[in-house]
Amino acid sequence: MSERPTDPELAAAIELARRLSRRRFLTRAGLGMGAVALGPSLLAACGGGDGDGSEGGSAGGGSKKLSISNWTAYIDQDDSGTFDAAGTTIDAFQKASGVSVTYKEDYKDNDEYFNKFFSPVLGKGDTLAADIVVPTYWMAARLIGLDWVEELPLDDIPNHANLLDSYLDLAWNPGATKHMPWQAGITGIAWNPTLTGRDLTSANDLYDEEFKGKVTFLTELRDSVGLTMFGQGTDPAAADLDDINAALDKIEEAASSGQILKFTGNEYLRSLENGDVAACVAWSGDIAQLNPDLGIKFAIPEEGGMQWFDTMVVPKGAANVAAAAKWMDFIYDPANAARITEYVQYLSPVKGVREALEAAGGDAAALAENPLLFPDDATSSRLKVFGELAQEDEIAVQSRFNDITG
Amino acid sequence: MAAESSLRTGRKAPYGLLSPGILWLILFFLVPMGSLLRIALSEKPNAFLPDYEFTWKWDNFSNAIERFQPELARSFGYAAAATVLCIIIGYPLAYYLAFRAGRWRSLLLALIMVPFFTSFLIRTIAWQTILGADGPALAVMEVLSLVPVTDAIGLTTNGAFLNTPEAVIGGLTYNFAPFMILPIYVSLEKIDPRLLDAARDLYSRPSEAFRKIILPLSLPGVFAGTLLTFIPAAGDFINAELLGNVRTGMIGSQITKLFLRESNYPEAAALSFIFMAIITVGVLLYAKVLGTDELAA
Amino acid sequence: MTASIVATKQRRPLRSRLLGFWAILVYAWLFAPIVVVVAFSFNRPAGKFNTAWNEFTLDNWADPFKRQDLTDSLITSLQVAAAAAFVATIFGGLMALATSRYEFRGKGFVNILTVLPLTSPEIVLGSSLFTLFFARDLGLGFTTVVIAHIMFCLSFVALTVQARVRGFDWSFEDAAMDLGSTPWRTFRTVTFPLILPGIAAAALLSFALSIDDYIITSFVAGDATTTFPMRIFNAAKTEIPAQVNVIASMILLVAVALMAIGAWRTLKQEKA
Repeated sequence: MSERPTDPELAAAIELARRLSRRRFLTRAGLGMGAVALGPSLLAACGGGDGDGSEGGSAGGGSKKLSISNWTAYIDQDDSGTFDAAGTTIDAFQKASGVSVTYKEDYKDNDEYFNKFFSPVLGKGDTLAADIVVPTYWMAARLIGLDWVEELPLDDIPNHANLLDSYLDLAWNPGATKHMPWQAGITGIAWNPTLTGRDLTSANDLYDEEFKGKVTFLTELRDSVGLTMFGQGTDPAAADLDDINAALDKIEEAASSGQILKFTGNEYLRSLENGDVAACVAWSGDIAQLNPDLGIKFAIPEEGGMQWFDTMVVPKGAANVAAAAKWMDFIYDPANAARITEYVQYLSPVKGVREALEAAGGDAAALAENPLLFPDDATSSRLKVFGELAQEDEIAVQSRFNDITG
Repeated sequence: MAAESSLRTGRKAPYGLLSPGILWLILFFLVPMGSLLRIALSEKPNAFLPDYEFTWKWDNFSNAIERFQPELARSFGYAAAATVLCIIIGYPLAYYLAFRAGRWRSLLLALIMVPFFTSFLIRTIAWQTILGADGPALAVMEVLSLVPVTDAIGLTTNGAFLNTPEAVIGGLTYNFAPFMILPIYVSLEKIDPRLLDAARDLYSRPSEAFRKIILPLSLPGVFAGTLLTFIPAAGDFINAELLGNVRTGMIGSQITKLFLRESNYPEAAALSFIFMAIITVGVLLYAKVLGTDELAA
Repeated sequence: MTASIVATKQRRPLRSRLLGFWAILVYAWLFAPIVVVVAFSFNRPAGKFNTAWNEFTLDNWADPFKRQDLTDSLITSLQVAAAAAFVATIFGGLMALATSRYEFRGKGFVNILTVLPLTSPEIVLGSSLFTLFFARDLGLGFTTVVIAHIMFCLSFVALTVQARVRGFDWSFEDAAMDLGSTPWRTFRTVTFPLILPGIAAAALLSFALSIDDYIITSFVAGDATTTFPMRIFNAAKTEIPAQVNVIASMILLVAVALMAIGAWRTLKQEKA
């Protein structure tokens, strides 16, 4: 390791120095490093619970507790992020029904949740901790197709009748017997006028070289590809494989040329706020919730926008199906649905919400006139839901998209 | 070395001391690796169901290499760049601490660790603020009218520091700098000051003394620092996700993506093993080149 | 002619000054994000992300634990770190003692096994543990997180203590036992105080590593457990409240205070 000098006097001097340093070391060592609290590991309690992985079995009829996994910023809450503060929907529900609610905003991405929880747990017949999860419609369709959700006890959900008619004739679950929509939304384009210098009108504006490196798309395939298809003049609802691949070609080219900066989830909001990004694919409610002083604008492209919705399902084997039914019934009361919509500013699937908001007056009434929350027929006709794909096609397309998004 | 001779041999072997730790490592490191290897050689008949059939599917490995070659190369490239930067930044600092700092040495050493008591996620988010479009870094460049220059040399892209490969490398360098500084410091500090005095007496110039005494003696520290920096940097992907763009993806995000977004555990596992194999080979080569078998700092 | 024992420092002014200047630059670079973190704890964000300066406010510090989810995740992280550091320090310390004092069959294997987790990327450690727990139908949660953290801290502890203890003159122990001390008493009064700095350093290191871990934890935490880094990473995507900065600043203050105490005591001793 270290070279030994051969000069004997030097060696002696070094030996002496080494002994000196060892003594110093021992003294220092013996006195310890006062900075450390090796510390009372009194905190080493085994707190917290192990959530899932419990023995699978039939669903429980529990009606005293309820566990919900939802996306972020999707229910009214107070400033400190408390969901059951006085006056919130959850607080009202807990008081009215006696059910104690655990609400978690841990549903962040459909594929991630599927691969981390749905597939490994439900696929083996075990139960999840959550009694209600809120996947996006296509994931709900997949779960229903795999028979991993409970049939809803519609007799216990009289307000099911308040569901907008358009949700009742979906091919993958006619009559909405196994899911109840939570909120719907529109995917369009958002931009920062100070950075773009003009207003954007078309999905193809995102491909304008003027904004090179200042554009982001979403990691949600159906949104990014759908808008691109609109721009190319093809119909996302038809979900033709060639058209989809043509759109993917265009996205791939834009990504490798540097036109598209990154593919994001909700974090596009941060880049918009900070000015790192000039324009992007965006969700209507996110922009509506933004501070208007920031000046961010949103529009449905003239060729069309994507319509989507997130919906409540009860995973197979959930312990508290009765409580879940009570919750769904409560949510579908127009007064409660209006309160939620007022906060999240997405499209409500419940009939009568518009009237409830108008009746409330003030800011709420202004929302009733907001075309992003209550689109008129002309706007609605420009919105499309991405068509359904066969399983192998869906996997192939998703795989290709994943490679493009990096 | 005097201490080596006092190693006990032939007495009752210390298996009792070892067993809890070794058992833990076997159970929760080796066994999972085995299970991962098994999955790497399996296939998943149905993409949605968590069933795996062990079929000796070596294809998983070749598919993974073919599909993720760019990310593999990029990860090792960025990690190498970050490691080199860490050495350039860290060696002079370690030298200063070992030889020039005097009484303040412990305090200055502790100060290096202080930033790392905040979560690395928070630190990286702070870099987003510093390097962002509204941030101080760009503001300084604009005041000095240096933006065209930095664009030309590639430090910024389209007038932005953030969301560039340089930002990612910068983030990697930042996060792993202490892992380079401290080992180099430790090996420099161990150098006997009498050697330096002897060198001063024997060699005509200080640079020769540095080259022939200090540099070789500090190599174990550089080696340890390189390992502690390069390996985690190559596997890191948080920096790339927070500070990079779509063309700076590193292998860690791919593995995560394969596990989580595509549920393609076999390919994810195969890619993990390929990645680890490359690292292991690299480490062994590096060890041979440096001629030292010391792996501990 | 004996060379003088006290080393004389010959000053090379320019080189020293350059080195000093470099050191200042490096420290400025190391602390730049910290300054930002602390500064932004006094910011009232205009939007949902506390990453652009808006206006000065003391409100955040007035109510740092306003965000229940943040605070809960911090407590979870502290619990995990305490448990993991405790167990890892004991097991790892024992391992280090064994490898640095004894020669035995299988020592090579032990050395390799100790180092291997360090050369494995975190994502591989995390995903392999996930496949193990998943295959054995073990519920993911607090326990699995602690198990994982102990695993990766073990190597750090073993190597840290080993580095400290290597080159020890164990003849101290022999001397003590020759003088009639029992092995346990020898350990308690001679060995343990000598290795204590190494143990303490290793424990501190484990605690810090565990608190900061994201990748491995994200794989094994399940849907019921959230640690502080997990919460922040999610926050980075959807909302960064100013309380994140406040809590981070508070942790920093505690760490700096501890170090200041340690440094002050060391300086005092060196003067003595």
